[in-house]
Amino acid sequence: MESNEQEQQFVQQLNQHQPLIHKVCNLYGQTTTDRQDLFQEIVVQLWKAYPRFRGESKFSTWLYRIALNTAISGLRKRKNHISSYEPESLPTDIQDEAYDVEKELQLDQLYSAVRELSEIERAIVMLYLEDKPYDEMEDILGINQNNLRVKMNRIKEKLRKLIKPA
Amino acid sequence: MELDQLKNIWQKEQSPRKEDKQMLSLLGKRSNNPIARMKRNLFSELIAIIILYGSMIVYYAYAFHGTMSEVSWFLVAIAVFFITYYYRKNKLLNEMECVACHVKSNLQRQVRTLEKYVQFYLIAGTALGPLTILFFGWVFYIKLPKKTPSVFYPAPGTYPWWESGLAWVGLLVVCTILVYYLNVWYVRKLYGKHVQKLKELLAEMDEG
Repeated sequence: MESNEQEQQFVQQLNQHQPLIHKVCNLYGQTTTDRQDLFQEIVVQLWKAYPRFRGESKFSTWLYRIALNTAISGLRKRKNHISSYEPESLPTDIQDEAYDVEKELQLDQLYSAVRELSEIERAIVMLYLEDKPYDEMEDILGINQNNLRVKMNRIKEKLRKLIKPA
Repeated sequence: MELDQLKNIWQKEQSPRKEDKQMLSLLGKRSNNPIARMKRNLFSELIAIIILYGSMIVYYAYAFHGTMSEVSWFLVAIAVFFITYYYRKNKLLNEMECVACHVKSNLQRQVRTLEKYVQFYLIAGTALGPLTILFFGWVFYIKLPKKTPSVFYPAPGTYPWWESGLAWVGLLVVCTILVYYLNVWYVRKLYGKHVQKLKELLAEMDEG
């Protein structure tokens, strides 16, 4: 009974952050199967670590650490790099509503470009896009803020070259 | 296009949401990360060793009217060695990962522990070769009927003691070197690329 309550509580907390996990999976999984496997693995790891979560850091910070740790060091064998953003991972509800083709193309371009970066750069750019402050990025990645700023400038430069103007 | 312009699109992206039922069903799944797989492999290895060694110990204890019971005792010693080996490897695997730590400290911990794990694998695997040769050399010496004297089993007055000693040392050295390089090749095949990849990630994190 207590276990069921804990499961429900965990799922409720996780639901608020589901998009973050999907974004990590979209960035690190090369194929739809990879992304599904990674999603499952992240949820399993979060659930295993949940009893030890004491709330010393924000839930989202804790979640990012686990999701990125799982994505970066967890998958040993990766299939060949596929840089395009596959349509099946596009949000279905957007297609039903006012579907902004231009925004979708830009998002597609962004995903393709970010996937060209290294695993560490992908993590940095993801946190940047999520508007995380540098101190929180340091808390998640363990890279000092000055170093993160330098890396972020380089990443911006790389992405500028990779993302062609619309 | 500037990255900052894309922030808004990125943040508004709506991924397909999984239902509570789907999420709850995922909680019971087993992990498939490399460390979880290594733990499962180690456990299967332990079960296989217990079954294999257990039956061989019983067989040699009673077969040949108990004349080969020394083999049973040797196998008991090897089984104890394997259980210690299993315990140590399992301990290292438990220390290998801290998913809730910083990405960098988790990578550092993985590299450090994986290197210890590989080193232990190498030492234990290499030690087993010469020990087995020594034991079976001794068993053959005391159990088999005496045949033509050789440099390994000299009869009095045939070979000087140092020549026999040298032959055994030579055999053990050659065997140890062969087993060592075989183990080096095997652990590199198993973990080499992964360790290298983790080190590259760490180097990238450190570079300014």
